[in-house]
Amino acid sequence: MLTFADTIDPDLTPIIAGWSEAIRQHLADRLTDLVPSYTTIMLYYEPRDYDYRSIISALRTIPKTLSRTGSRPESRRIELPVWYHPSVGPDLEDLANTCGITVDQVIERHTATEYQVYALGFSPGFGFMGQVDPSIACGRLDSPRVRVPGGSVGIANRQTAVYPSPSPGGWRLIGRCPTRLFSEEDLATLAVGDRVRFQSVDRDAFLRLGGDDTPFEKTLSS
Amino acid sequence: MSGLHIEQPGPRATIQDLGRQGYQHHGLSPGGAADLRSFRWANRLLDNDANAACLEITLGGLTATATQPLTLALTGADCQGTVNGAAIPHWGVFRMAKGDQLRLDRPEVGLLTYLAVAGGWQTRLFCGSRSCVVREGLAGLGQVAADTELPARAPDGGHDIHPYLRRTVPEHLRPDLHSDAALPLMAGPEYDTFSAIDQARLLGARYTISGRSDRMAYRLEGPALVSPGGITSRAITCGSVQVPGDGKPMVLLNDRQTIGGYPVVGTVPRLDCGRLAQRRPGQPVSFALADVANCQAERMLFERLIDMTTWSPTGTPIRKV
Repeated sequence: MLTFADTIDPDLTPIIAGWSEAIRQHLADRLTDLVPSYTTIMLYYEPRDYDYRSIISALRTIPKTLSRTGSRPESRRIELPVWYHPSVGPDLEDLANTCGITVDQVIERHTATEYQVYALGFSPGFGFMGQVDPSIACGRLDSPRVRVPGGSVGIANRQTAVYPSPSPGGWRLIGRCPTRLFSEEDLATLAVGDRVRFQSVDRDAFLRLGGDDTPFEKTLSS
Repeated sequence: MSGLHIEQPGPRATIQDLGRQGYQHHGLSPGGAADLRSFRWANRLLDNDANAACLEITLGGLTATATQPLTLALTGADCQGTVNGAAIPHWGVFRMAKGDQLRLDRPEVGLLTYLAVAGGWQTRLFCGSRSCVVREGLAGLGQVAADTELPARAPDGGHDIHPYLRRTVPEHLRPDLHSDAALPLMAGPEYDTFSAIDQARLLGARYTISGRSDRMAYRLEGPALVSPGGITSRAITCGSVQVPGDGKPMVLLNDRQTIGGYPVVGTVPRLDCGRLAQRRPGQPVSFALADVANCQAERMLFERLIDMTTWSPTGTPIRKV
C-alpha cells in the first residue's frame, strides 16, 4: 500500500490518479489489482511469482516525473436526486439532534456542497465523496448494520455516499437515491474525479424516478 | 449443456474459482474459493487449470444426479460422499455415469467441501471469473439453488481416466481441519496506534467465531480492543483484521468490500484465511504475530508444491521434473 498523506486533500486526487496510471503502465504484468483511494493506492500482485520486496524495487524504477505530467482531466458533473426522509433515512433525525440542528438544515447543508468522487469501492459502484460540511459530519455507527437497502444515502465523518445495492454498512443513513449507480454492462456509473451534487426531491418525484420507498425497518426482514 | 443436476445444494453452495482480478477499482469484490488449499488440490487432482471453477459446498447436504458421464474430485471437509450409495474417495478422484446419484452428508469437521469437475464447471463468466459474490446480486452468479444444472464440458471419449482414479492427496499435504492453532497475523497499518495493552490482549486472547460470520467477514467474540477511531477509507485485502467501534475484531474474507474505513490491526495470510473459513461459529480463534517475508515464503512454497506435484500411474504423488 502506498500512502501519500494522512488526511483527505482534494488536490491529492489528481496526483493519486497520475501515479495510478504510471504504475499501471510500468508494472502491468506484475499486478492483479490496483485500487486508488483518498490518500492511498493499494497494489495486489500474484504471490507465486513476486514478493513484497520485488514489487517495491519495481516501483522505484518508475520515473518520478511521470506522475506529475498528467494534467487534471475535465471532471464530469453529475446530479443525484435524494428523498430525505426518516422512513428511508433512519439516522436523519438522530444526526440532526447530535449536530444540534433541524432536519431541514441537515438537508440544506448536504445539498449545498459540490462533492468530489475520491474513490470507488466497498461495493460495486459505491463512490466515496467528500467533503461533507463539518457541521453535519457524524461518525460511523459503532457496529455496522447487517443490511442497508440499495439507494441509501449515508454520511461517515466528512464522507458521503450512495449504497448502489443492498449490503452491510456502518454509515449514518439520511435518505434514498433512485438513480442506478452500477450495471453489469457499464460497471460503475461514478468515476474518481467526478463532481456530484445532491438534489432534494419529494416522495412523488422519488417514485417517478424509479425509487423504492419501502421503509427502512421493513427492508430488514425482506 | 449437460453436467450435474443439483437436487439439493445444502445450506449454501456457490461456484468459485480464484476470483475476479482487476475489477476492484469498480468496487467489485474479488470473491474466490475461501479455502485456497483445498480448492487448488481439487483442480490439481484432475490436471485442471488452476483457475477452473469448483463448487464450494457449505456443511454438505448436497444431492445431485449426473446428466452426462463426469470425472470429479472432492477435497476439503469430509462429507462421507457416496455415488449410488457406494462410498467415494475423499481427497481423490471418482467417476459418475449418466443417471448416477451423488450424495454428500453434513461433515463432522470443517465447513467447506470442493467439488471439481474435469475442465471446470462452465457456469457464467463475468469479468474474467465465474466466482459468485451473493451480496452483489448479479444474474447467474448467485448461490446454487435447488433443481439447477451445473454445466460441464462434453466427456472426452479418447481420454483414459483410470490413472486419475488412483490419485489421492496424501494426508500430510491436506489442511488439518481439526487444528485450532493460532492464525499468523502480519502487523497492519494501524497496529502501532493500538495501545501496548490492546496489542497484548489481541495476541493473548482466545476469540470465538460469531454466528454473524460469512464469506464476507468472520466476526469474533471476545475481549474488545479500544479502537483508535475511523480512518480515511482505503482498500482492504483478504485477511485484513478490522477493529470497528465496538472493539470486536473481524477478519475480512473473499467476499469483503473492496474499501473500508475501520482501522486494520493486522492481516492474516491468504492460506490461513482458508483455515479460518473452515471453522464454524462457536469455534475458537487466536492470533500470533508473524513476519511478512515468512508468510510470503510459505505461500510461494505452496504454489510451487502444487505446480510441481503430479501422480505416477499407480497413484503415488511425485515431483514433476
